Amino acid sequence: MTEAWLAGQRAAFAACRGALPGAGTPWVDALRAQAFRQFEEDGPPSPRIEEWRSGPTAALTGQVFAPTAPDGARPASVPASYLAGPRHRLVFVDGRFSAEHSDPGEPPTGARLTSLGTLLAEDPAAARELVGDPEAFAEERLSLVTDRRPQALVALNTALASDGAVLIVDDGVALPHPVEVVYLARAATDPSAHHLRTLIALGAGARANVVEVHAGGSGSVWTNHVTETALGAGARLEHVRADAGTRSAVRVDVAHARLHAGAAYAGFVMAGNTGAVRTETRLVLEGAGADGEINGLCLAGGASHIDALTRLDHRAREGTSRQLWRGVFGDEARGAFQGRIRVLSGASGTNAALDNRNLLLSTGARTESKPELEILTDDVACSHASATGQLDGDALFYLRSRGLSERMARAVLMEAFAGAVVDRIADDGVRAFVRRLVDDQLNVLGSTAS
Amino acid sequence: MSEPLLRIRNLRASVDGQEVLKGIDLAVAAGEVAAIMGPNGSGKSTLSNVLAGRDGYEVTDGEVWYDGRDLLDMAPEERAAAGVFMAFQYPVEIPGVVNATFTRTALNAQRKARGESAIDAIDFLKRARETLGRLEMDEAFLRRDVNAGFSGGEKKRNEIFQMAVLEPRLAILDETDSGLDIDALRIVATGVNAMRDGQRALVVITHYQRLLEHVVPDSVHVLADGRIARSGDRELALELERAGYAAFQPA
Ligand SMILES: Nc1ncnc2c1ncn2[C@@H]1O[C@H](COP(=O)(O)OP(=O)(O)OP(=O)(O)O)[C@@H](O)[C@H]1O
Ligand SMILES: [Mg+2]
Repeated sequence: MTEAWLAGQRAAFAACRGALPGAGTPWVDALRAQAFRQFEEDGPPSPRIEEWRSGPTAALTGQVFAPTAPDGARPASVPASYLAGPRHRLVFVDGRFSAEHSDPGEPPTGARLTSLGTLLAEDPAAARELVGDPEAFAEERLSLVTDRRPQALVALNTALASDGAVLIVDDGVALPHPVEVVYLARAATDPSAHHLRTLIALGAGARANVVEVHAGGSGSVWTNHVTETALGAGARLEHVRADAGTRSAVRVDVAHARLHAGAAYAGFVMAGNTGAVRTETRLVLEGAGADGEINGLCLAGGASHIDALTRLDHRAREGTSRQLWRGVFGDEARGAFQGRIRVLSGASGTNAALDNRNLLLSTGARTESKPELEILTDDVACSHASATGQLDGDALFYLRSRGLSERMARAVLMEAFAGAVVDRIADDGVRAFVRRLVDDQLNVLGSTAS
Repeated sequence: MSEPLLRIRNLRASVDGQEVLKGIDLAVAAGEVAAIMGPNGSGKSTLSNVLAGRDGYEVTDGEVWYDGRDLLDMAPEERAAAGVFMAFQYPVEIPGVVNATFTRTALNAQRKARGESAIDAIDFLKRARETLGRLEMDEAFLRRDVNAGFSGGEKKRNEIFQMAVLEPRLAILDETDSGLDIDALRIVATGVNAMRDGQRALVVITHYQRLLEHVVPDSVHVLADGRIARSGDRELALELERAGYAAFQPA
C-alpha cells in the first residue's frame, strides 16, 4: 500500500505544483521541490516510528488522498460565525481561501491578516521569512539524536500547501478582537487531501487571539494542517484549534511555535473528529522567561481515534510551562497521549507541569498515556501526572439520589471533567464558544455511552 | 390506622455476598420522626443506601413500601422525585460542579418528573438565599463546587441545605450530626425541625442523644446486627446513652 500511496503523492505533486500558490517564484518552487524530495526520502508515517506508534497511520495510508483542483462549485452551506462578539473571520473551503465567505474586517494598523495564497502573490519576500525550512522540523530525541521521519507530513505540507491563514503583527500592536479561521472541507467522493499552512508571527510585545476551527469533511477527506508560529519578545498569543463536528477520515494538525524571551503562548486543542485525529503541539521556549501552555481535550466516540502528542522544549532559563490534557472516550474509541517536557542544559530555573487524565465511558474504549520528562539540567521543578478511569460511581449515585437521571448525572460529571480544561481559556467569548462545542460533543458521547 | 408512609418488611440485603441486613421491620408514619441508633457496623448506612437505591446492595428478601409504591422497584432518581431524600454520612466531593447549578438542576429534574414547571434561575436564587439565611450559611456556598474542599461540618450543612430546597416527604439523615460543632448542631436541628409539618417523615440515624434533644423523636429504634433489636420512645435513647449497646451485641 505504501508504494501506491507514495506514487499517488508523486502524481499529485507533479500535477498540481504548477498551480500552487507562489508557483513561478523561484524560492517557492525550490522550497516545494526540496520539501517533496525530503518527504519521499522519509516516507509516510508508520507505526515503526516511535512518535507514530499509536498514530492513525493505517487510516492515513488506507486511501490515496490527493489534492484536488478547485471545481469552482460553491459549498452548500458555510457555518455561521462561531464567535459571538466582534471578530476577524477568514474562511477556507477545501483548502482554499474564500473571499466570498470571509469577513476580515479591519485589523488595526500594524497587523496584517491575509491568506497564504495572497501573501505569496503580493509579497513573497514577507512569506519567505515565515515559512520554515522543512529540515528544521526534525524530531529531537533523547541525547539530541534527530530524526526527520516523524515530521514527514510537515515536509509534504510544505510541498503541497494550497493556502492557509496568515497573521503578521508588528511590535507592540495588540489585536482587540479575536481572529476566527474556519477550514471547511466539503464531503468528497474521491479521496481528497487538503494541505493547509497557517503562519502567525507576532512582533515584540504584540498580542493576538487566534481561533482555528475545522468543520465538515467526509470519510474520503484527509486534512493536513500545519501552523507555524513565531512569538517575539514579550508577545502573547492565545491559540485555539478545534473540531466543530468534523467527519473527516483523518485530520492531522501540527502546531509549531517558537517563543522568544518573555513571550507567552496559550494553546488549547479540542479534538473531536468522527474519524481519526493526530494532533501535535510543539513549543520551543527559546528565550528566557517564556511561558508555554498547551491544554487539550480529546473527545471521542464511535470508532474514532485521537492521538495527541506534545513537545515542550525549555531551552532558556526561567521558563514556565503547563500542560493539562483530558480525554473522554466512549463506544469503541481509541486514544493516546504522548506528552513530553524537555529541559535542555542552560534552562535552569524551569518550572514545568504536565497532567493527563482520561475517562473511559465504555468497556470497548481504550486509551494510553505516556508522559515523559527529559531533564538535562539541574535546578528545575517539573511534575507530571497521568490517570485513566471511569466516571466516579459514588458521585453518580449522589447526583441520582438528588433526582438527576443517570444520563444527566453522567453528563454533569463529564462536563465537569472537561470543563476544568475549558476554564483555562482566558478570553470570555472564545471560552464560551469552546464550551458550547465541548457540550455538543459530550452530548453525542453521552447519548451513545452505556 | 392508615398505612404508614414507609413500611419495611423483613428486609434482607447483602454486600459482597455478606448479609448485612438480616430481616428489618420498620414502619414510619407521615409526620413521624423516627430515630435509629445502633453500634458501628450494625447496618444503619446500609439500610439508608438500600432505601435510596444505591447499586451494589443485593436485596435477597422482604419488601419496602413508600406511599403505596414498591420502593425497591424504583430508580434512585424516581425515588428522589417521589420525595425520598438521603443525607449522606459521607457526602461526596464533586469538583467542577457548582453547588447552585447542581441544586437547581436537581430541583427541576424532580419537578419535571412530577409534571411541575421548572423554577428559573432568579426564583431559585431567591429561594436558595432564604434557605441559606435560615441555616446561617454563607452565600459563597452557592458558588463553590459541590462539597469540594468543604470541611466535614460544612458538608453536613450542605446536605441540610439541599434537603431544605428539595422539600422531600421522607428524609433519611445518616449521622448528619456527626462532626458538627455545637452551633452547627443547633442550626441543623432548626433545619430539620422546619421540615416537621405533620406530613413529612424523618428517619434520623445518630449515635448521640445530643441531636435528639433538639429534634425530639416520636420513636427510637435500635439497629443491631442487621435487625431492629428494640423499639421504644425517646426514653430508649436516654437509656442507651447510659447503658450503651452491650445488651444488643451478639454474644
Ligand atoms: N460497600 C461495602 N463493601 C463491603 N462491606 C460493606 C459495604 N457496605 C457496608 N459493608 C459492611 O456492612 C456492615 C454494615 O455497615 P454500615 O455502613 O451499614 O454500618 P453502620 O451501622 O452505618 O456503621 P457506622 O455507625 O459506623 O456508620 C459493616 O460490616 C460494613 O463493613
Ligand atoms: Mg453508617
